[in-house]
Amino acid sequence: MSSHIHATDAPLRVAIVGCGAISEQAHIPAAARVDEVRLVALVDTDLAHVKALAAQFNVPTAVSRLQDCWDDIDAVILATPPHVRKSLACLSFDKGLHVLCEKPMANSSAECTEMIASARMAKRTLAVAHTYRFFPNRAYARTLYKSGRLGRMISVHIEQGDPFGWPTRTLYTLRQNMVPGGVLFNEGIHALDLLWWWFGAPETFDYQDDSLGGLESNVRLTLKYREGGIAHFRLSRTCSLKNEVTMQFEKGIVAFPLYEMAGLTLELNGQSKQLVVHTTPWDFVEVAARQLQDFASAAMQGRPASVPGDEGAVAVNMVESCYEKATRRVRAARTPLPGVTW
Amino acid sequence: MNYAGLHVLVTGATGFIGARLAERLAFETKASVRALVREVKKSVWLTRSPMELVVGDVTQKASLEKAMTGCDIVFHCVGIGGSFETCMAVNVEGTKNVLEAAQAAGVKRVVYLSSIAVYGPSLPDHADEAASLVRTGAAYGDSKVEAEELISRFVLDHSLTVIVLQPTFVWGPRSEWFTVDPIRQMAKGTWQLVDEGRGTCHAVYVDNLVDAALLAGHRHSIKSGERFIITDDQPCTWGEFWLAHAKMIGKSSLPSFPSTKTTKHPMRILDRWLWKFRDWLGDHCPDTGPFRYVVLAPRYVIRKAAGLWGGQTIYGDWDLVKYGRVYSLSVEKAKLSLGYAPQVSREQGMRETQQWMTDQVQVR
Repeated sequence: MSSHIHATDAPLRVAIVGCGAISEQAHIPAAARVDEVRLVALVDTDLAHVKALAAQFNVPTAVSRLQDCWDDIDAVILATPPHVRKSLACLSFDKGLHVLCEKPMANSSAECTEMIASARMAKRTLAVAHTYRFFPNRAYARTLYKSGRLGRMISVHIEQGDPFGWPTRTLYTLRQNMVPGGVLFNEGIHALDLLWWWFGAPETFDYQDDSLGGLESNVRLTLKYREGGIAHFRLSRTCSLKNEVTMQFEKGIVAFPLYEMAGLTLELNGQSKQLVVHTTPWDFVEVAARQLQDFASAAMQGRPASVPGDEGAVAVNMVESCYEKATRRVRAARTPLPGVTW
Repeated sequence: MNYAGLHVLVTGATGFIGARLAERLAFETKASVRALVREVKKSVWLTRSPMELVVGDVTQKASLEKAMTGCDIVFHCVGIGGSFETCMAVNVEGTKNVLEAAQAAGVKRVVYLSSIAVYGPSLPDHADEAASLVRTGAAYGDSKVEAEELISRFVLDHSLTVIVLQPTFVWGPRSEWFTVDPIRQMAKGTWQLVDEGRGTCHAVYVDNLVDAALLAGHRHSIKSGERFIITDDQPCTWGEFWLAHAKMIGKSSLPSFPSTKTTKHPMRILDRWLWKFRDWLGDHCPDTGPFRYVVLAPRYVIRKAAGLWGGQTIYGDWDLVKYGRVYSLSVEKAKLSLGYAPQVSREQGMRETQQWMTDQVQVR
């Protein structure tokens, strides 16, 4: 069992638990790029699938239960559907393992609290995969904002929308028995985390969605901040939207396409320029690799990760607040359509 | 409508009409709703409502048995266009599977969504459900005729009640054929009226059709096998109908072309002969398989070329008749027997459609 500060210079031995689309496309290939970790096991209830993946990516162990490999590992990447993350994380902490948990961290803020307490008690690292924080353009522009060069935030507009197409294996994001919400909980949580990371907690907010008693597919959220700034967030998994972020400040404008990692448009003191803040190729595997590297270093040095559990919990808490605020529709003469009466 | 305590299954539930019917059943009635979906991924409209998703396919009979367990009513909304093989497999064999599975599962009633296409493009003036079903050689229409004939035979010796709805041109939010695609083409300048849009439009707004379906699932006095034409009962000209759509994107006029000129266009004549050759191959050389579609390839080139060079949409023969015809169509039977009374006027439907388009469709 590993100590809180990783005792040796040897790489952190990692298992990935839950081998759906995000593991296959990001976590597994990312592990090969990070010197600080060694991917030793893949865990998934679909044993045939996980064995095939292990063979494909040269991972020595493929098992269907975490218990079958936990004596040989120091940390887990939890990429299961969110309804089982709390129990698996707590089990991992009890066993002395560090945890990098996919977002949303859990299905409720109460579960998040349990996970954080469990990590503290075990003195282990809990990190949450709010991947977008590792995009170099976000980090660069945030540093600029925090330095005061952009001045006060006036407004933020975020549009995020595409017809649902994520190649999920479990389809958990569409199953009401596995998740507490729809597009805000699953896809929108990135933007909620981004807004909190930049501007902190809003003073007030307005929220609307198109749920008819199930999982919302369209969302409008307006957040008002203490210094007068306002953020508008439009989110959809039924239609294509602009997929861009525009932030207006007292002294300038920052804009970037939602899925752009390195480039951004910066207008400062009346001058506009296109910047590429990182010149090496940058993709989701690279982002996952940086995130994993950050997690591994945090675990080895006994410091909090860049996105610790309590920050992951903030986003889940915000989602819960939105759902509490949503005007739940009563049976009507005719069912409303998005854009017609919502 | 009293659906309390009833278990209903909607097939084709990720489609335009099926999805709207399923969500209205879930939200407005107290029915317990189950949706048959081929791909859960396409269910983001349905998952907004509390309903059960069952993965299945009408061409796979075994999947229907599970889906229909405990169901009282089935709304069979699956319908597909495309090749003859596809239309026959899904629209005819699929319907046969649905009827047999429903009978075996003890379902009391099936409401089947057919189409006005069963009467062909040339319905006589004052037409109603007494008109003859017509095979025209078009895959979709012929498969719907075949499915209705299958239902007529089926109800003779089975206890299952089957009600057939024959909607006209279904428009409104999410209608690709009669709303979204035409508006996109209008934005590009490629949508044209036929004969200044003088032909009569008997369209039906999606929520009016859903109302009719809910009535058909609920009225117990209707005899099995009965069929009902469903329209908005608010006829107008195609010009008025399409210009109302054009207004949504700020256009006040649409180009027009005369049907006679187009009918005699050399490109049209070649187009028509290629189509006939393809059908002849299908009838006389059934083993030609995909080759029949290779024969049709020049049609697409012709249509594209005509569009580019002449700036003119080459409508098929069916569309020319559909858009050029001046006629009346009766929905009296649906009014009398189903109690159908369209609730959404064309003006209201257009307002809703525009709001929906603004929210959900980026027209460039």
